[in-house]
Amino acid sequence: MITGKAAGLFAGVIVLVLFGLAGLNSAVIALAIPLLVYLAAGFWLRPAPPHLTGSRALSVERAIVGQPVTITLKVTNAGAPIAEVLIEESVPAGFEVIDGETRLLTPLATNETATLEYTIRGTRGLYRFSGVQITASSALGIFSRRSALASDNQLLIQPEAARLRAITIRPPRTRGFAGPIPSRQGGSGVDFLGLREYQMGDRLRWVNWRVTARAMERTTHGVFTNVFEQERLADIGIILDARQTSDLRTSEGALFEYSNRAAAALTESFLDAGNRVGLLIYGSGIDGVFPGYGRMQRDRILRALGRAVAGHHFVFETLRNLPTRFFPAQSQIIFVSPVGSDDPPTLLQLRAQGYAVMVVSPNPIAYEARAFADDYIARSARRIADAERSFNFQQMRRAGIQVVDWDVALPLDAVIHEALARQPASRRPLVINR
Amino acid sequence: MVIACAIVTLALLALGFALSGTWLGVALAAGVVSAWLLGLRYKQFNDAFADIGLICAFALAVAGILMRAPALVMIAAGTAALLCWSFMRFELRMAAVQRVDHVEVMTRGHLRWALTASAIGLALAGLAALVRTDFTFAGVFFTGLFVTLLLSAVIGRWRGEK
Repeated sequence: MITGKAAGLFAGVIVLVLFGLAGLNSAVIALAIPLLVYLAAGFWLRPAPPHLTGSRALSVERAIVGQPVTITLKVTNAGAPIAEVLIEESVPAGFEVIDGETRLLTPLATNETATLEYTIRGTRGLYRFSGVQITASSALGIFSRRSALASDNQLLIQPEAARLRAITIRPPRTRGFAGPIPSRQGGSGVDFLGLREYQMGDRLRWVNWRVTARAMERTTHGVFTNVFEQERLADIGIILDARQTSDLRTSEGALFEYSNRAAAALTESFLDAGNRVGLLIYGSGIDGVFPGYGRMQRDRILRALGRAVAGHHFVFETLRNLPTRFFPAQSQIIFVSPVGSDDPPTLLQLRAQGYAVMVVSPNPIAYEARAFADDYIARSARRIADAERSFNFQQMRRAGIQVVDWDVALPLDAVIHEALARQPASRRPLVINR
Repeated sequence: MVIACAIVTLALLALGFALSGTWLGVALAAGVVSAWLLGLRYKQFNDAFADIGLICAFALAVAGILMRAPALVMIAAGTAALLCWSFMRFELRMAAVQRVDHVEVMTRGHLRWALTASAIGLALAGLAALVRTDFTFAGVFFTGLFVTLLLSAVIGRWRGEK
C-alpha cells in the first residue's frame, strides 16, 4: 500500500523535476534526486505480504459487571522478517481498558511471536471480539501493508446478582420434592397446620397432649396429633420486562439494568433454595430459559440475562401476548418491571388463572425525578404519577399480588423484605370485584 | 537526531543564502527551521508540521538555487531536511503507539537505511549538479517523459504485485 507519505514524496519529485525542466535548471532537478533515492529505497525495502497467525485468549469467557478480564493476544510471524509491525486490537465499545496496551509496534523476525496483554472491564452484554488489524511497514515506513487477522472470541458480561435472604412465597402448587416452600399439605414439616386423630405410625412426639387431655375430659377417649405443613420445592417463573417503554434512560444510566440485576438476584436466591426456576424475557421478542434446577440452570439464566437488551416490537407493546403457558399451572410468577399503566389487567388475569404473582418494580418515577430539578412543576408531576402508580399497586395487592415497589437507590434485599413483611403471601382464594 | 539534522539543515541553508548575499533568506531559513521544531511540541499538528517543514525547507533550497546560492550546499540542505523529516516521522510513529518493543533494533534499522538512502541521494545529486550537459527542448521533453513513465511503471508494477 502506498502511504500518503510516499505519494507526497513522489509528488515532490515530480514538482521539482517539472520546475527544473521549466526553468532549465539542473540543480533544481538534482534536488529531486535525494527524494527519489529515498523513495526508491523505501520501495525496495517494502514489506512482503505478511504471513501472520494470531490467537486471542480470554482469562474467562464469562464475567460479572466490573470484573477485570485479562486478554492475551499472540501474533506469530510465519513469513519473512518484518521491520515494523503495528498490531492493533479493537476493543468493543462498552469496555474500558484498565491495564496494559491494545496497540503494539515491534519488529518481527521469522517465527517470532509478539504478545499483547491487557485487562478490560465492561458493562453488561454479550461482546464479540473481531479480527486484529496488522500494519507491516518497511524500516523507512513509507510503504506498508494492512491486513486483518481473523480471531473471533466472545465475552459475556453478566449482571451482578446481589445476595438476597430467603423470600417468602406461597404458590398454589408445589413440586413433589422436599424444599423450603410451604405446600399447604399436611405431613412432616416445621410449621403447624392443624390437628387430627392419632393414627398408627404417628410419632409420639407429635401427640398434642394438651388437646388430648381436654378431649379425654369430655369424651374419655381420643388421642390427637399435630399435623405439620409439608415444605416442598416450587416452580418459579421470572418474567423480565424488556420492552422499550420500560427502559427508562437518564444521565445516570438505564432503569432496565436494575430490572436485569433484580432478575439475576431473584434467580440466584430461588435456585440456591433448590427451586425450579425459568426465565422469560419479554421485549423486542420472546427469549427465555425453560424451568430447571441447579447450577447449570443458573448459568443458562445468567447468560440469557447477560445478553438481554431492551427493544420494541408492535406485538409485544402490551402484556396481552404474554405466553403464560411457558410456566407450569399454579406456579409462582415473578414479574420484574417498572409496570406501566396498561399492565395491571394482565397481571390480574394471571392471578385469576391461578398463578401466584409477585411484582418487583424498579420505581421509574423516583429514578427519573433524580434527573430533574426539584421545582413546583416537577413535584406536581411526580405527585400525579405517584398517585397513579399507588392506585395500580393497590388494585394488584387487593387481588393477592405481592408488590415490591423498589426505589433503586435502596438495596433490593431490604426493600423486598420490608415490602413482603407488610403483605404476607395470601392463602385466600382470589376474589376479583368487577 | 531530529534536532541535530534540523541544525544541519539550518546551517546549510543559512550558509547558502549568506554566500549568495541574501540575508532575508538566512532569516527565513532560521524562522522556518525554528517553527518546524517548535511545531512538533503541539501533538495534534505533529504529522502536518513534519510535512510542512520539509516542503518549506525544499522551497527554501529551490529559492536559494534560483538566487545563485551554491547548488551543492542547497542540495545538502535539502538532504538534511529529508533526513530530519524521516527521523521526525519515525519518532512520531513510536510516540503514537502505547507500547514499542525492541526500540533499539527498529531505531538502528531506520537509522541505517535513512542514512544510506540520504548519502546515496546526496552523492548522486552532487554528481548531477556537477555534470553539465546541453539539453535541447526535445531532450528535456523526452527525459521528463521517460522519468515520469519509469516511475509510473515502477509504482504500477508494485500495485500489480499487491
